[in-house]
Amino acid sequence: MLNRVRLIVAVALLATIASLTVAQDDPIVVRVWTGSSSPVENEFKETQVAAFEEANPDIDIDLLISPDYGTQIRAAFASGDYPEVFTVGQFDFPTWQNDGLLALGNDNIENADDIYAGLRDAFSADGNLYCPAKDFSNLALLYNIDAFEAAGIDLPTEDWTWDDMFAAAEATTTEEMVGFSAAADKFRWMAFFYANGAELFDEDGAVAFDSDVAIESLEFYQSFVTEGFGALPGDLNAGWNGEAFGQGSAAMTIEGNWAIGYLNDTFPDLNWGVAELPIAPSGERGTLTFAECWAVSSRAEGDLADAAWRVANFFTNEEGATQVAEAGFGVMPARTSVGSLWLETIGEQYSAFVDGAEYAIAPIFPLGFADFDAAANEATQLVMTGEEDVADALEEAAEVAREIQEEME
Amino acid sequence: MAEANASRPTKANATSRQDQKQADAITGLTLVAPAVIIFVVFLIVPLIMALYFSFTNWSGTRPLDQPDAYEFVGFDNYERWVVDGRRVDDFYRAVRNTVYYVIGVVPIQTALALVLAVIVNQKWLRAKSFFRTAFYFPSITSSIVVSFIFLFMFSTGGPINAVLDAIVPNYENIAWTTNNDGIFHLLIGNFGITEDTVGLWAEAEIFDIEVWDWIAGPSVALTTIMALAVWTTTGTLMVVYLAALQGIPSSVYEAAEIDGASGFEMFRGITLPLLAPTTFFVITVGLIGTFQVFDQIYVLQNDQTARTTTSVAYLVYATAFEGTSPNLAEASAIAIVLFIIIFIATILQRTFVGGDQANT
Amino acid sequence: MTNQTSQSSEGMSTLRRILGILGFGFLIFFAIVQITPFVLTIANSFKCDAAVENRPMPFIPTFNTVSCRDDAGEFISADEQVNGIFFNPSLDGYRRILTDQLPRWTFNTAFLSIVVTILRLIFDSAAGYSLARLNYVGNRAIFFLILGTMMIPGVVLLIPRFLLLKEMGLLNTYQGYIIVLSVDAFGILLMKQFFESIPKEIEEAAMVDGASRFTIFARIVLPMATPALTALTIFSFQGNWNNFMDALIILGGNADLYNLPLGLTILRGSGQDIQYDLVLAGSVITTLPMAVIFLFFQRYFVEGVSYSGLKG
Repeated sequence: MLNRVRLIVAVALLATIASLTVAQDDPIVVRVWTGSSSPVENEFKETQVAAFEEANPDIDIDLLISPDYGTQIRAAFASGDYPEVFTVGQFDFPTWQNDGLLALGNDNIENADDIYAGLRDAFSADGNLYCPAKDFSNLALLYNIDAFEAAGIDLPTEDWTWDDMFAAAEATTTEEMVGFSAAADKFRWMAFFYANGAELFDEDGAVAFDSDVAIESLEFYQSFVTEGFGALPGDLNAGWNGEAFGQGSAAMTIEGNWAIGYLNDTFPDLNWGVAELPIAPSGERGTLTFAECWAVSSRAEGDLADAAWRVANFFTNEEGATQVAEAGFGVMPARTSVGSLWLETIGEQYSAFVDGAEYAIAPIFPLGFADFDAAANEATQLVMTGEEDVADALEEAAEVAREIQEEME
Repeated sequence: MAEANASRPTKANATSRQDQKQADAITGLTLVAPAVIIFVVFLIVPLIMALYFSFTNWSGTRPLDQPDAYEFVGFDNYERWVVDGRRVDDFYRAVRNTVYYVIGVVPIQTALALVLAVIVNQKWLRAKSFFRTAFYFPSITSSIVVSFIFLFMFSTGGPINAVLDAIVPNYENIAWTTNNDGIFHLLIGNFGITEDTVGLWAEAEIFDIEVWDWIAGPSVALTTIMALAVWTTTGTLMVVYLAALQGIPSSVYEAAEIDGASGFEMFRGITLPLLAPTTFFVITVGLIGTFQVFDQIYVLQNDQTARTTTSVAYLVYATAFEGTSPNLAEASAIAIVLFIIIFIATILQRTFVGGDQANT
Repeated sequence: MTNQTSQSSEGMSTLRRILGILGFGFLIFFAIVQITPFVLTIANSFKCDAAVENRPMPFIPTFNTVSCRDDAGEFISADEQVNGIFFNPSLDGYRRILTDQLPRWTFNTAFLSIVVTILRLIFDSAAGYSLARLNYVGNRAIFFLILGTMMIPGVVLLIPRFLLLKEMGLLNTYQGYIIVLSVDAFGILLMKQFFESIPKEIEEAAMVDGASRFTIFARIVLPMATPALTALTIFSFQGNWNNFMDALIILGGNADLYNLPLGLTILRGSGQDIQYDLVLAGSVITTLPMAVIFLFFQRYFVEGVSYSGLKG
């Protein structure tokens, strides 16, 4: 017994001495916060952190994967004591940048030119790039191959137009299945909106949400439902497009690459493919992109700031992006140089998601236009539930934006 | 318990009564002190902070130690949401939905909880533990499971519609989870009353919402959520009643039984009056709780039904944490208004429903 | 439904018996309705994602267990797991939940729930008694203050409370969580309303015998309040066992202090790709303890603990 006590004391002493010696050159501790994503991805983040620590013995990462990131990071921001490195979603970026929370990226970011242009735009303000994109998702057209074959029509091709898509929806609609599952979510139909050359604001800064091309795009999206060749996922007894599509209640839908894992796990028998969204009457394609970046705190200074940028770059540079690509989960690496590598891992059949990155737009409503954002949601819901016609609904939303502009002047 | 039986009269003199009063006050304040301290520090102080922020333009993310963290904007946030700003229609639509929710849920959950409690408290009932636990189960079922069950049970081809189809002649499947039609509109629609036939008054607008829409009644989708809410909360309230029922001396029932009272007569004549304070309590907390309904809506609504199901508390959440520019100051303003609404409703309830129980 | 009398005519008693049986049948039906969702939860927690989506929903497990991924690492389809109303259970969901952190989360949850519940039993009943029975200046004001705290949507208090706890150095500590949650308005009102229903005569009698108010509260009134204390125990335990938001704000910065709701949320991840087996296995292991607690404590809802000798 006594021996054991002695042993414990000795070990404790040694440990203290050891820790004092190490304390000579304390590693810099960098706090890294992010939200919980899929289980595999959480694991991936932990591996990345371990790899970084091994390569950089002078830096310790204190990683926090939050169960409710939005709430937790906001509380930390409010207190002024927040992590040195953290993830920023594209929709939060304008506010957080404006609140002075993010350090300027520009030259701190390794080889920024390699990041997709759309993703650089999403995380830039006043011509300055703030943070390197971590990964992203694009919308594309998912189609049920069996349904197309049963209807005896060709699968979507390179030169598919809106009319072709509509005809396919008509052809695939049966007793059990509609041609197209159309969520009442503005971040679905606005892929058509941008494809058709519409914009939130035109070149002169005037509100263009109710332009003719805008109206045309939402009318097209709505027409699937009004003509009976499409339905809202709720009316197909599904929580979202992916579920309706997976259950075989819809032959086509628009979703992002996050649906890949879901569909393959939950509906292994589903025979499905992906195509780029069809060409609009404007002759162009369009899609929406959704991204996150790794940002560095504006409060980190000196060595700590350097360390923080090393961490952020480690996660996002070519090597970091390569790791994302090789891990092969739903999100795509943010660098053009590794897009094909991701496809190699996950499968060439999903190339439409990567191809969309060329022309994808991050649909971000500018700072101060929260009411416009809410009005656009409302317009979408009213149109898709058949309570209002497209031109009126979009005009109402656009009026809100104009009012805000007037107030700002 | 021995002391309790001895109830002999005494002559207490004035001084000891005075002492007693003082002693009571000291004991009373001591006993309530821990609760008051904790409430003041962790609820009242944050509440005052929220009230303070509601008069600023603080985003909620800009660090408060920054000199430019926020500016005072007076009543702007209130005006914007509650008086005549751009969001008043959203606010009052949420108020309408919430009020329908409260009116629908509170009476039903109270009555159902009472009935269940009385049943599982019966002496003759076999397997009491089983029934009690069974009836309590929905209260402990996690919200994810609840939403999963909800989508399954109420799906167009699901069990609820199947059962109704079997019972009701010429039944047409109802889209329970997505239908935005108000049930009052549907009801009067059967008699041919529509917005076009009732007259122009229906098109008048109060706070940017047409009178016709104000009186729509809860939408089918909201009604479905309400049914589910009743299902999940009844168990909890049943336990409150169950506890209260133990306080009714069995001698009272025995006496009534000798007088030949029937079961129902005893329920109405003895149980109900003796449970009045509990009922009052259950209604009060039910009212306060349902006015703040958030979880159920958050889990069960979808894009399609947002307009007819969003509650005020949900709006507070969405304003604080979601969308393009989340704004804690505005969210706080809405929350303070909700606080005032609940406060008034509680006072009204205590005055009109409470009757002589107003002290409880 | 209240079937208590004995001496009636022959016909009456037969009718009553039939009604009784019908009533009992209805009760059983209703009980089954109430439990079914949980039974389905258990059944589905043993299914791979594909089988969860299968309709009609099979609910009887066989003895052949399967793995959700085949040898090639692909997910198996519903047909490989489902056969009519039977299905081959998979333990994958439970296996994935059994991480090295699960014991820690469980310990934190149990520890915090038990400590908070004990404190609430003390503080809530003390405050409830004070408000119900003792007259002093400010009694009503305090009552409305407590009632008022229930009326504000908690969402807007999260960040102010976080700032406050930070100032006080209570963030990311057990103490912080315990102190903040050691009283609750619902519990106080519950106790208050119960104490008010106890006849005053009992206390008056004790007072005549010279007992102090505190003694009366601790020795006489509190034991009589067993049913209410039981209810309070059940509610408090359940509330803390499932507490996500307070735990997030107070303990969120230190993963070692996470409770089950926080831990399982991380495990489950976010996004559209719901992993049903994992989610449902999680809700089974969080729901079961509560069901056991309820089953245990509901025994204390027994009539006649109290003052039956007294004339109401």
